Amino acid sequence: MILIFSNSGDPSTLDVMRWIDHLSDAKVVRINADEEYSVELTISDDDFSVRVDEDAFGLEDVTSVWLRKGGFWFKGLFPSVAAPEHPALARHLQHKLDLENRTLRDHFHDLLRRRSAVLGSANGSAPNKLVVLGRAREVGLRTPPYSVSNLRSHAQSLVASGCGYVTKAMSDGLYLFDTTESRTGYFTYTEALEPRVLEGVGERMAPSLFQRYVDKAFELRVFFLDDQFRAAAIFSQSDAQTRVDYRKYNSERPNRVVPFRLPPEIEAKLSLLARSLDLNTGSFDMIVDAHGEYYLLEVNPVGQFGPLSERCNMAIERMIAERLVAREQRV
Amino acid sequence: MDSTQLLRDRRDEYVFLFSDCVPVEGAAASAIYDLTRKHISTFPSAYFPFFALFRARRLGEIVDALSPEEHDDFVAFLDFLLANEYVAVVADAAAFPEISRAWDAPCAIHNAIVDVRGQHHDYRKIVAELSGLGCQHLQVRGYAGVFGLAELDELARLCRGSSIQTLEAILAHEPGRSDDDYVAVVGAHRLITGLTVHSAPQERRLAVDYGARGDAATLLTLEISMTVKPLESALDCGQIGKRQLLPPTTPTFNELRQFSGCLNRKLAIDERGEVRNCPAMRGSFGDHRAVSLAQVVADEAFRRVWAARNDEIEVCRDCPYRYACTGCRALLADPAVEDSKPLKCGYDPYTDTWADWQTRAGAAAALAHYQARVHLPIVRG
Repeated sequence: MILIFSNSGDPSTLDVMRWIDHLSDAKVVRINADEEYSVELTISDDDFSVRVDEDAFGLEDVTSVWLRKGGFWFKGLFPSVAAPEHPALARHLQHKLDLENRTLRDHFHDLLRRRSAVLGSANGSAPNKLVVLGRAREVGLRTPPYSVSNLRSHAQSLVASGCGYVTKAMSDGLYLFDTTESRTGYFTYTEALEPRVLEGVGERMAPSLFQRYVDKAFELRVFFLDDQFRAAAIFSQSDAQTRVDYRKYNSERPNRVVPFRLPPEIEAKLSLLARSLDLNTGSFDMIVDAHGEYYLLEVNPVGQFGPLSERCNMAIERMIAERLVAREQRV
Repeated sequence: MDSTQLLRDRRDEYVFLFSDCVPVEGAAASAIYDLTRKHISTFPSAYFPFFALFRARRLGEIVDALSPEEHDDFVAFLDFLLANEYVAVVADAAAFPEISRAWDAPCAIHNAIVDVRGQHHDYRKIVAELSGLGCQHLQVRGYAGVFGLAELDELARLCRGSSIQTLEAILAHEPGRSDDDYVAVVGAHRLITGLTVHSAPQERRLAVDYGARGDAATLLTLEISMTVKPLESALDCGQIGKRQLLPPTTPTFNELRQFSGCLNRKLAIDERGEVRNCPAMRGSFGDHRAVSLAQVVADEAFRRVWAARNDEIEVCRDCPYRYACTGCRALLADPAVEDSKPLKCGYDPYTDTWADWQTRAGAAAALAHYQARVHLPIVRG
């Protein structure tokens, strides 16, 4: 049996499940982090038994797991705390219950990791960007120089240097669809650090990440699964709208995205970096400058690979499905 | 950057045709398929050999070998390629491999057509067996009132929880139905991605907004199209014109290089309930009630026509649009010749001109041949 944790709206999950269905007779149980299920759960020593709606399974049934999306699964196992007359106590108890839930989840993942083939990151979120940059340099990958500071004067000195800097979130950028109130989407992008960005900012500002702007020849998205790499080059440089962040799509003239052959030494370093971050799948964002130098920007363990896979015919969905059914056939 | 500047400053570099822009050679006109921007441009085929030169020689070497009169044409062609961002000038293109030409899909059957005229089929069996084959798209065509709005509602219900992701319907107009009836059924099933009502009293379009308001409504709206034109039989299909060309994408382009764009992984149930590759084609694989669809699909004889790619069809093999055209293997310009071009195509690749296919010599006779073969008269609803 293959266990998939995801979100209900993730199109890639459906594509991979189609391939699993096409390639094997494996039973698949998909649990979405944003849906509620009737869950029965017992963990005893090194085993567990679970029923999610109609699907009942034990640890020994699970051959492979794909942690695709979402942080917390098995929502609603713990009651929510209601004590209107004691708000501070209620907040504290809620926090304690969240910790209970997290401990349970971590143990559940640990059991899965020890007994079945787990694809994906158990954290359900991206690793610390600043840590990634440090590790990248350790394995010999170039990264654009960066700094974090809460001083406006620091930011002003960067602007004054004339080198060109960008600023972006240290964690994941903002990405929100408000479907209940304003029906608006909110996003943050990587933005150029310009004097007007600092207008009206106090001397002590929120700690902000600044990174040297690299004049890119093109960007790279490098999907990896274990030691297999699929790279695509994105020619976003000629378009002012996408020069700093290619996610500001130009739908009239979308950027060219074409397959790219990574130099073996870059691939070897990325392999080392993935291992040091304990990731067996994800996507690296890189840039190549006019002199052919490679820079690592960040890694995304749960990124959307679907569009690149389709346009460059990389068959990533099939790769993932084959990885997930591999153990099934041996049983 | 324009070509004048390039010819002056970048003579030692190579013209790199982006790998998502694929040249396709035709007789009079050739094409570039822009797989990212889903667009096809054509140009005189005389320019086609330049693409081989771009790969082999530096820009300066190419230009120096041209005669003075060729030079101006080359500059114009280079400007055309630059204006469309089909090419970049690079020192070395070795790091940019071609897009893989492999094609596959996670299903034994990708799409199916069910025709209904005077009798119903076993829709439950059809949907269950198509789902077992991974079928993603289903089209139902009701020639008469037997298959109407109530039946569409029921079919959409049957498709829930199956592999079928989209259901498209063409139904005969039912005089007793109001606009609200049509909107209600389509609005109740997100699975229904298209409805055309034929033989209607007038040409109209009905909007379905799924209850969405404001900006969201513009994203969600679907239009039901009502047309006065009747849908007489399966012979009404197979029209080929500029409007029918598929916007090129990597998967469709690769599929059409290897397979028939219409028949590959398709299954049809004709109005008599017989399993066929296409309702208008000869060769029945049995009544759908009596045979298993999976067994039919496993039959080599059923899959043979899937490989009827345009590269192997007379005239089509010289057409620059051949990897964007589903073609037609049911209605041929010369019914006696197996690899004859489609009857209802008006393009002539040897002159690069479009004309009405009905004006072509022999077109009326070919159509009459097919009409005589149709199993008429058939019970009319």
